[in-house]
Amino acid sequence: MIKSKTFGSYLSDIIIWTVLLLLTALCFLPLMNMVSVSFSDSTAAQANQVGLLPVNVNFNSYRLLLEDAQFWRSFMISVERVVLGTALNLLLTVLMAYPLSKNTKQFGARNIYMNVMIFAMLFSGGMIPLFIVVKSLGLMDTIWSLILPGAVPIFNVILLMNFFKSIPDSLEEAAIMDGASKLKILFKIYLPISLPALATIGLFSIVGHWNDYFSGLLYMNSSANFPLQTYIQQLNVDVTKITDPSQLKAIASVSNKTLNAAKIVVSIIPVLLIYPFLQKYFTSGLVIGSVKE
Amino acid sequence: MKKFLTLFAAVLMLLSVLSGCKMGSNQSSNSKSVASPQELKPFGKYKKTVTYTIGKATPGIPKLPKGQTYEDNAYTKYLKDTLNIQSKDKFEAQTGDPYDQKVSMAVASGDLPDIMAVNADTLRQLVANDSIADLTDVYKSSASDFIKAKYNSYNGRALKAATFDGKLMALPSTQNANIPTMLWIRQDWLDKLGLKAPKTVDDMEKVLTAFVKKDPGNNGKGNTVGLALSKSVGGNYGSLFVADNIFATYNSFPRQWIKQNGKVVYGSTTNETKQGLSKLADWYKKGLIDPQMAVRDSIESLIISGQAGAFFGPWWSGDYPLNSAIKKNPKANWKPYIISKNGDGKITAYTQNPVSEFYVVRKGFKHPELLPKIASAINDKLVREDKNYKPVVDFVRGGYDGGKPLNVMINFNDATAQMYKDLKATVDGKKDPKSLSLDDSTSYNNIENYLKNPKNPDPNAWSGYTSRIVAGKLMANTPIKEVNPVFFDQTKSMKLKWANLVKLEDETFLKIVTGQKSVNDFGTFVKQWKSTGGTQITQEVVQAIKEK
Repeated sequence: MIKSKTFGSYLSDIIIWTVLLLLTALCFLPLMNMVSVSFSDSTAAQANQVGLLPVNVNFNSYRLLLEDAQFWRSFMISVERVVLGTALNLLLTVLMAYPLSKNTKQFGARNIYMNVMIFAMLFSGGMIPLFIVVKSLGLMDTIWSLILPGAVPIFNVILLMNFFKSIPDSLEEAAIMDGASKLKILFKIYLPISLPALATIGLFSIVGHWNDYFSGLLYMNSSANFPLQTYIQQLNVDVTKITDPSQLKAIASVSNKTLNAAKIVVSIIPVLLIYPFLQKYFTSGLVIGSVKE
Repeated sequence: MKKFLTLFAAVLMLLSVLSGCKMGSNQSSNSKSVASPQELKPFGKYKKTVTYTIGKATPGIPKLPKGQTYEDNAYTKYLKDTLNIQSKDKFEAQTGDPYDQKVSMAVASGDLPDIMAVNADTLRQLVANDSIADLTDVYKSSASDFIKAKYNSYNGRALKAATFDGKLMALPSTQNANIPTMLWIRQDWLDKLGLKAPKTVDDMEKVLTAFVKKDPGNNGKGNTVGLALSKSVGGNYGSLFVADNIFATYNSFPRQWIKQNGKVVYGSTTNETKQGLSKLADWYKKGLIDPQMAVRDSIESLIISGQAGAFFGPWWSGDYPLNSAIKKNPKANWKPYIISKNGDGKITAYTQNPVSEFYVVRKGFKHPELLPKIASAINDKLVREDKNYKPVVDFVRGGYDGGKPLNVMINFNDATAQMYKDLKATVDGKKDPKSLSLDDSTSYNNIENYLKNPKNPDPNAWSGYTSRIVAGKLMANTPIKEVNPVFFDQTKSMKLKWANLVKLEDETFLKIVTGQKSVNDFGTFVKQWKSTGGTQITQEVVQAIKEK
């Protein structure tokens, strides 16, 4: 079919493109400014003279960030946390969501589990009880303190459970007819067609683990064990609160502004790298072609 | 019903007593030290290495020399060498909120480090829980005379803050005097316009008007800012960009609890403060104050870029932010001046809380004398007798930070003025540069560099000279009528209501200055302030002062 291009369709194309470009600029320009500031001369940045292009390009802030071993150590801790944490999150989410997607006839205690989970999601014990639990379990200063307290993300469980519910029962019935076990049904049939949902909650987990600085602050006693975001958060100095001249010396040597920008740039790189790989799953169809009704 | 209530109250009391006991479960082991008389002396060395755990407050930017850690660096080595003690970090966190977080976790879980720094609020809590040691005796036996003299320079105000029922429960870090703040002004602009340096508030108005109208910095019409001012208009002791100097000419002391005509009042609610605000509002209306002050996120940028002609700041403004301003434009000649009521150079100013944080020892720790000993070693022996101790000298010269296991700082109240006198005497050749303290000798190098080449100085040399000689001289020579605020602590109702009251105050002040509210609305603010908790808090403050 050949589309004839009328004036109206041209006009609407132009409008759509303009709006989209404006929106893109809106998102992109602050980021661009951030990158420019991070490469700029610190006095120029302090004087608010950096726009979209760096002024007097230099790498001082990055040098300060990269020079010390702690940065890389923290980086690796964060990577380890994301890999372990996301794997555990996905495994537990899947194992939990599958039985919960069944009705009470198939799984009698379903509602009890469901209520307990929703209760736990709405009412948490609070920071201090959680801290004491983690401490008494001997998890302080270990990577597990960052992973285990959030090992079952209930919100994701509900998300995946609803997705599983939308899968036609006939698929499972057909598998049962062929003699498949429950585990086999879950891993060989449900999971392959749930890739979009898994990609979504996987991304949630990755971003959540990567961006979280607070649990590192809470559960790590030695600053050598801080994950990247906690480490970066510690670099943030509020200049207006300082009245001690000796501390100012250290700060004056590097502009807080360029350093902050460098931190932000570094911390978004991994997520930026991962995103395109997961994105393709979001657009691909859900259960297209699995059964014919 | 009444019976039930009494029973209920009794059970509650029992519970609170029980929980109180649990917190201080170590109390059976008396907090008497096990040290020998020799080891109790301020600089007595232990026979066997004593290991102690601490809550370590780290600087924002990790700045340790390569190979050194928070537990093993120049300072811990020094303490090991002189006292034979070794620190171990129970937790490490950045000074400020992250550190406070860790402390409250430690308190909540009842697992305290042997020594740590806490704020006034936590100190009271720890005293009430009976979980920290009484330091009265060990302070007497193990703090050096020099340290005691330093504490005494505050006329007892410093240690009083840490004393409960006559017992010394903590060693405070002191905050020495940093007043007066000064008006920093572009001397090159003054010269260009042929103006004299301002002495009074009216002079200042004339100068600012000329700056804004005549644009001596060639910023383009309308781009010159007269006075750079912070959103929180006044009341932050010794900090940058507040207008305390102006308020003080009206005898107004915002955000301070002061005695006025024999009554305790909150400075922000006085009629004098209204007058100060109306002056600032007038200036704002005339365009003399940064028109974007309400939304300005970096005031420093105004000064560094050369848009602003004046700001209020303490003596160290030469180091920050002016160091960057000079780097940006070496011709920006900033100079400090004193603004006084009649131009006679005599000013009124409020003093600050003499203590910042409190160092406490866990009850049950076998060596409570360690705290005064460490404080003495760091603030006395190391800065005087052992000031040439090489590892620490290298550490300081290298610009490193965060080595001291405990940041307990004890200075004479007039430490800044003394610093100026020492440096000045050295510059005049009356004092041997070798006799200067470590910090001062670094500053002296900068000053020497400046004096070698005053026409075209290196920014660091300029900063060193301007802060410590030019501004230092003003500080040491300006006669100050001191107003001592009567209360720095928190009261019960403050915990709930203070944040809101401060918000109300901040908003009202900013709106009045920027003309969104008329000065006459000040009365409404005072009424609202009083009715939403101010009256009750004032009563509590009066009560607390009586009890102290």
